[in-house]
Amino acid sequence: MDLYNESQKRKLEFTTRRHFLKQCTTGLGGIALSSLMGPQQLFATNTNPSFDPKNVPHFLPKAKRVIYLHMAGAPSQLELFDYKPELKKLHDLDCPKSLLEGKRFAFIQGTPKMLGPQFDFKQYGQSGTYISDALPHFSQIVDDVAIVKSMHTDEFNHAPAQLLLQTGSARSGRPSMGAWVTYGLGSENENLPGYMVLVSGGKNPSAGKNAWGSGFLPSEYQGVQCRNSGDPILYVSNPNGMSRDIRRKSLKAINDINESQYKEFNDDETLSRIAQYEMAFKMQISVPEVMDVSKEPDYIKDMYGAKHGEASFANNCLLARRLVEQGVRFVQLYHWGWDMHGDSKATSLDQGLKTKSEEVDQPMTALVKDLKQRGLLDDTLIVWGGEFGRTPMRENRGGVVMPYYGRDHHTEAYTIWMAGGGIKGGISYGETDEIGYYGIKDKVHIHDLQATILNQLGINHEKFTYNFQGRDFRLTDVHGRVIKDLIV
Amino acid sequence: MTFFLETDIVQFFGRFHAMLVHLPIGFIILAVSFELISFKKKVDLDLAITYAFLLGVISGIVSIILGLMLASDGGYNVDTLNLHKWTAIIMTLITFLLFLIKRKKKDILWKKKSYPVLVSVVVVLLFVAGHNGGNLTHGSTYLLEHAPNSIRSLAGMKPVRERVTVLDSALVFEDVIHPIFESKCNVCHNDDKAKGELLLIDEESILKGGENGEVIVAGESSKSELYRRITLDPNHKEFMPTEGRTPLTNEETVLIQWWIDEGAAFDKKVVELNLTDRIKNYLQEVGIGLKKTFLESLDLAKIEEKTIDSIQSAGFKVKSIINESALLEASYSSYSKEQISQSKFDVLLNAKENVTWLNLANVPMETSLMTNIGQFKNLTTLRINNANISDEGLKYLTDLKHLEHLNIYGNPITDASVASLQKLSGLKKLYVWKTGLTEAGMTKIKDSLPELKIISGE
Repeated sequence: MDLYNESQKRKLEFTTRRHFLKQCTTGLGGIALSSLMGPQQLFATNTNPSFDPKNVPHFLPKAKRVIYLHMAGAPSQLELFDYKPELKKLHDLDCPKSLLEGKRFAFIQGTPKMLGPQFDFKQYGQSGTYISDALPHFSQIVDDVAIVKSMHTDEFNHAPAQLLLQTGSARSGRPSMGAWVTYGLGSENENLPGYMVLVSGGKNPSAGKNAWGSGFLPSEYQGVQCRNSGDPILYVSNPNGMSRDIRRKSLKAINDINESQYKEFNDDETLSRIAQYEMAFKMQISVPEVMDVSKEPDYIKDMYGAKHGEASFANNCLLARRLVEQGVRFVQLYHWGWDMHGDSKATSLDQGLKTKSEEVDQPMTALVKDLKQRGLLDDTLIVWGGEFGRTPMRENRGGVVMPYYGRDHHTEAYTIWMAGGGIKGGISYGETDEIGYYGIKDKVHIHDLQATILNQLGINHEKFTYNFQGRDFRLTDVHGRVIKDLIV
Repeated sequence: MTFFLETDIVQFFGRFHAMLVHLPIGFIILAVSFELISFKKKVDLDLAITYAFLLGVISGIVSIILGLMLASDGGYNVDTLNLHKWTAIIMTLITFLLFLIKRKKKDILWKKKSYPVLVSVVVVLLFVAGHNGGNLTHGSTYLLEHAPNSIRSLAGMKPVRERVTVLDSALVFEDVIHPIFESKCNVCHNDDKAKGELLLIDEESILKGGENGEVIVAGESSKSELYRRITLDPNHKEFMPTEGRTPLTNEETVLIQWWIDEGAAFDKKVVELNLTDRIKNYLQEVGIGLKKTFLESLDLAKIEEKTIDSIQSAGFKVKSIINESALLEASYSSYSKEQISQSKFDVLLNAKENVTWLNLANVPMETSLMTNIGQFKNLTTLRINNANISDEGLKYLTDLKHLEHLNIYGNPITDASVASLQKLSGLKKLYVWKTGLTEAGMTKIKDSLPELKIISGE
């Protein structure tokens, strides 16, 4: 989204029905109402948030930080976590009509064939958890993670599903989870932003930067995206000829002007702007330091499989550890490219998925192990997963046989895993049916996941609200239930 | 006409009774109030009073008709219903009489004398009918449910049983199941309003069941009608609690299932039944068997704003672990240009009882400063990794009996510290990656602290 569009969007966000009443010359009803109710009530501004961030934590937090590993494109649960031997037996048979009636898929048309799992599974750990051969590293840490097999969502297209997962709403404009969390809890380190975003896999997620936006929350709570090469954040270093002293003085002058503006107009966004300038100044020192992976010893880099200068998931996992170690509240990773439809080799289940799995398997395992040995896993919550799952049927886009094995988008059942931050280790929660089509036990909705994440941070998701456009908003809207069985 | 045949049109109109019934109450109270005002202020309000009575009569008649339609569904306590019905009918008739008296200006002596008496009778009947109507709708215990025990005993009700919340002595029915029924079911299944002829107030009524027979099959939740009704799809016609009422939570449903499967006992204690960890967790959700943690047992005064400010200007980040709690978490940033020093510790020690989480990771620490850390008696979590702490320094921590998490990775510590660590009797997790502690040393620590988990890294 370019700057012009963004400014238009911002403006529209603040246009309410009240503006209509105000501006509409024929709004006689509005005028009549205003005399009845008193002008303040009808044309109230929305600059006074009813919520005081100091209200949180509501109760003793188990987790103090979150690392969210979002696999953009939605990995197949049937190839990685949800072992379905029955589906293997049904391989290449026509999908029964009962599974298709009344359903809408993104691409599947007519009668698709069933598709058996493309990898073998074995049991690992004391918990005896089934894990696919595609994840040889991850299988070592199953006793530290909770695998949730009964996730379900409402959206079957990437961008809305990613927004629903990250912001609680499939439409853009709501604050993301990281923005909510940093808004409530602040940062543990005043030299770094509380919410940082790292992207790998070749592309940004389809939802764009709305997925880490601040929505109607003050804009200082939006996620700060870091790059893997060059300046970690664009223009973070001073231009030639600008010394740190001059920078300091010019910022002081700008802040003074902003301050007098604030006194005159009382716009909270001016305060945000001052805070952002101050943060940017501190970040000139702190960010290059924390983002410099080369300082890590070789055995740690090898553990993650990190190589200097690459825009890889491995480097980002290592950075995520460095960031939470420095007290960053919410670290959001996106790894793009899991959309295995089977229309090319790169999107095939047997080859493309294997490549993707290799890219994440070692780093995500190393992240859990490394946080554990540093004593950070106890109070850092890690969540791994996509925005939805994949169908047990083989995709037949346009009703024809695809060149490679692929699966379509599926909302009814998929798998995520969580670790640390007061989440039980070595458990599987929820069950799907014999072919992994529906969740049949302990279903977990996206809003339930969000409620559980907030709960681990000591936040009651029903009480954590922000008043905007005349009503109190929540991350979980009017839904969500904390999954108690996942909690230690 | 099929529209009228297929739907229960009698009930459709009948349910408007609860709304319309407030009109005659309002009109009659209005008329009586006006009568008092006109008596006191000597003004003539007769016309208003006359019409208020008339409106009271008209709305009263409509309410009675709708009320009879509503009652035709059954499920109400017959005695309460009769009392409500007949007081309302008599009251409406007398109100009509009052209207007639008021309309005819020509005063006859008996009318004049009996008028105030009749007004008083109407007011009394109004309250009797209204109160019983409320009992029919909300249940007879609704009004005084939250009344103090002294008022409850005046009204002849049982004082509230003090709910037992200790796991070992709580009763499964009285303390777990009955409160769930009371809060979610008994608005409709009580003495005055036994919908479906079902009461869920005590052992006798629950075992008796409703119009379709028994609702509980002891030992078999899957065959129990009660369990089936509360676990249906919420949109199902037979789902309970019925539309508009708060459904049972997942925890409550599971507890009821457990109670039925364990034999649906009415007099047993919770601990006499089979208790899994899941059930224990869920019991805590409804308030049974909650244990106070060490932090919850602490009763400390809050640290003054002024002191907090001074701690912060000494370079510490400090905040309440829970909003408004007196307990604090404190950390010293490894970014800080200033070394941590005795004078900085002196400031932080002003809150030595309140600080329970302390993070001094990556902050180089002189051995002489370690004695300060030993003074934070209520510490539960201490992070002093990569701080150049020696075996000598660690000795100063041995008095921290409530310490649960200790992170000392990356420090030059050897097996000489085994004795110091063994003294930390409350320890649950110990992080010793990149220290000189050997396997043998760790085994020794674990032998004396069997609850402890030692994480030594890869």
